[in-house]
Amino acid sequence: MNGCSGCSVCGKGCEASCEIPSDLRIMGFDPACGVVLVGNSKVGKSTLFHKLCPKKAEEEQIKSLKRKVERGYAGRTKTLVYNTPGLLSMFSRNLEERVARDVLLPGALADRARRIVIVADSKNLMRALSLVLQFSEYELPMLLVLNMMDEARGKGIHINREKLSAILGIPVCETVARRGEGIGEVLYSLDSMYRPHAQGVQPDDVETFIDAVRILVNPQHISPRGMAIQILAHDPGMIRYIRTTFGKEVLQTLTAMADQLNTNYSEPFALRSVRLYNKKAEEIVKVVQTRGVPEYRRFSAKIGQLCMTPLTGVPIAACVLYMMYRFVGTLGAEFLVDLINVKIFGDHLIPWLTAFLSPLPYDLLKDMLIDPDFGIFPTGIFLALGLVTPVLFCFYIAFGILEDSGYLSRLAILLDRVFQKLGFNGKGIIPLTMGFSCVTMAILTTRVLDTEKEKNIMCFLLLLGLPCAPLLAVMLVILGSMPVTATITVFGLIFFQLLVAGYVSNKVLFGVRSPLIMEIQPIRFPRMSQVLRESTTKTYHFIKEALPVFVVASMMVFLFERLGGLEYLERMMRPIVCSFMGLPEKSVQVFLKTLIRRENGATEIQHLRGIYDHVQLVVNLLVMTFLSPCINATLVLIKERGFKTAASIIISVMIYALFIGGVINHACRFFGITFT
Amino acid sequence: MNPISETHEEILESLWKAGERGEHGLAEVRSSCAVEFGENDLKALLSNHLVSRQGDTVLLTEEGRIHAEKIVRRHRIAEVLVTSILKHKSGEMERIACEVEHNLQPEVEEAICTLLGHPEFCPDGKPIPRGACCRKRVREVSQAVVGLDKLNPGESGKVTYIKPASHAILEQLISFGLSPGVIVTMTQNKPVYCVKFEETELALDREVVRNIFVWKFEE
Repeated sequence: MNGCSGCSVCGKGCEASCEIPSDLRIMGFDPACGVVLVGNSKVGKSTLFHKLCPKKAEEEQIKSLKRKVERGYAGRTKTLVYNTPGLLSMFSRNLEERVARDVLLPGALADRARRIVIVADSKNLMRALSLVLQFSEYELPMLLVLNMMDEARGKGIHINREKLSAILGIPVCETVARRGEGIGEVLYSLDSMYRPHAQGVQPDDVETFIDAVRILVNPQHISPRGMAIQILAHDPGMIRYIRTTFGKEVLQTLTAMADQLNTNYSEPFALRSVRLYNKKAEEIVKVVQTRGVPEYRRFSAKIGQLCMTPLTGVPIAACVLYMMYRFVGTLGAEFLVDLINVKIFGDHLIPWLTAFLSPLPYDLLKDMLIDPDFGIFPTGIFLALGLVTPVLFCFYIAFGILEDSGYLSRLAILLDRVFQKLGFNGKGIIPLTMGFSCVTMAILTTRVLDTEKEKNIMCFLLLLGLPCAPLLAVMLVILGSMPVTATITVFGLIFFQLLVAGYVSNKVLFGVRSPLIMEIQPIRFPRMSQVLRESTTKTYHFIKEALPVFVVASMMVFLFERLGGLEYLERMMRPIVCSFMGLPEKSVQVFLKTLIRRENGATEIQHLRGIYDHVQLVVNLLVMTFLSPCINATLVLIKERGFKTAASIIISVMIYALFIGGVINHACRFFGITFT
Repeated sequence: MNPISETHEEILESLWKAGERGEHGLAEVRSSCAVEFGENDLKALLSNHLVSRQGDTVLLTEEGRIHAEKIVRRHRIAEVLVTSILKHKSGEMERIACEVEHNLQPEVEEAICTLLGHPEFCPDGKPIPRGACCRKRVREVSQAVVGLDKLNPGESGKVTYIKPASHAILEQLISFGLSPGVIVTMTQNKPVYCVKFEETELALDREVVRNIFVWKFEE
């Protein structure tokens, strides 16, 4: 890399600063340590990650954060690569965005991650460089990957990467990860990462504070610079790390010093710093980037625009939802379920298995395994695999297409006004749509929302109103055989009460809604291979996690029934279940299984549907949708929202569900509606 | 009362700024003042009832405070103007602001303040004292600077100032690269505002958009 004559950014003599000193290669560089991928959202981190690590990715628990992070081995090497969620800046408060800096703390991961790869959207160089400058405060070896180079070139953007590399002091690679271009170079460069040059972004008082941290604490496993900066920014992860590693007194001393420094300014440290980093990044962009004539891609831009304007956007949204419904409902819930559950399992596997197990000596054991009403195979494994899995897989594909094509953010724009009335902003579309696949996962994604109030309302709505994919699958199967009025009644009521419940809780709860600030992704053709791969992974995780619960639940209900508990419970619940809601006694079984796992209850109702009439089916489906925070959802809710909030959400949801069930039952009987 | 000399204005300014930091010692004021001053200067200010003094502690009187506030306001508004619109480097910013603070006519000061969208903080992050125009929330000078919400779809403007309704929002906007000097185009304003700048497109609520002020480009 020979000289950038007249480098106006570093301002020093070129030979001194632009040549990469060979000893930097050795400083802090350990080829055995892990690499963290960091970048703004939607810059292609995950695509790059999967190209870098073609072998199966796994998840690792971050010790301090109760959160998992994806990891894999780069190429054929033993280098671990960690993929982190997209972030806006190093100081983001959002739980999701904190992951990228928390994994850099010593002890967060089993194998220390001590190298940072910043993934950039080449069209948006300034933002990426600002991140490079921010993360360079950790004084770890870094690499900058300019991804989406094809799109940048299409926009007429040219980046002089030799110059950029010289200014930053780290290697710079160009890739089009989607097409696999430049991956080899990235893999190669992983072995020659350097610590970036100091850019002198922070003012003198901050530098003094950094020196103070260096002298007072002298941390061995993390750079005092990064530590000092995060203390000034009140980063919860860093504060916890200091408290546990160096003790309360050290933490108090440091925070007192930081607070003293911060009182000199009226703006918080993070805001001031982002300004400074951006300014420096802009200066660098001016030196390394030139803009030619862009080739406009008018067509996709036009479609993107049409999706956002209410006049055209609403009909488009209706079409998209209808197509999704047909895809999940017709292909998944009818065709695939029929193929797998009825034809393969029902016609072949179950008779075969019954014959195979008939020589077993104990009737109890035989019943436990193969009893058509309570056995582990028919009500546990087969229903999970035959009924739930195909629908879930189709749903993941549909959701993946919406997300990858950039359509979801447009839907968020269309719905923002409606969501405002419910107490959150357009970003709520993500947990809400996720809720249709699995409420438990949707509760986890409420982290993208900014305020406590928004998260509480969203969790309430998710638990109250959303039928998760398996339930949805069963609903579609059951409702498919009834007149269309039944479908309209069930889904109409679900959406209506979502609106009412959201509106009321928005009025009742204290707190604020955060305004919408959301990046709109350019619309593009979804990458089917990636969508399919992610859907497969998610479905696999579902099976891995849910199947054992299905088995245990079936076993427990079976034993419960044999011990007479079920009969007793049915008798106990009769006033509510039979008289108030007008359901058959057996539906207690459904509720029992629902409480263990929602889809388990859903499959049970499909199993028992012979004893129901149509009104009872409608009432039961609705009550299940409203009633059932399954055990997983409950646990996650307690973890995310705290015991008190979780308990009040669950109790109000249960009371509400039983009440609604009764009201619908009596209303239908009173008006003589039978759905036949 | 006699017009106040530039030196005396500088002393009043540094007294005000020292007060901002909670310090009132003479040594502190002397070290932060842009010009050298002696006992005579202090005596003149004392006799004009602009300051009061007890030993080493010098305090602004009510009248002195009003004067000093105006000077600081002009200085900091000039800083915002120089950095966000004229795009000078920060070294020059201080020099120009120092000149402007002594010579700015009140009408011009109001016009600039309105033009910039009544900024509340200078580029260094220090508060700018409010003027009459800020309190009245005067919106128009010549229609040049308007809230971003006033742009129609298809219109563009250059961001002059972002009012920090909340630091968290401002931090997000700045991280997205939306800061003074950036040219934004409104792509649609219903159901939410969508603005495009450089290669980024953002969807924003009204409460965010109306705190962003732009210098509207003529068609």
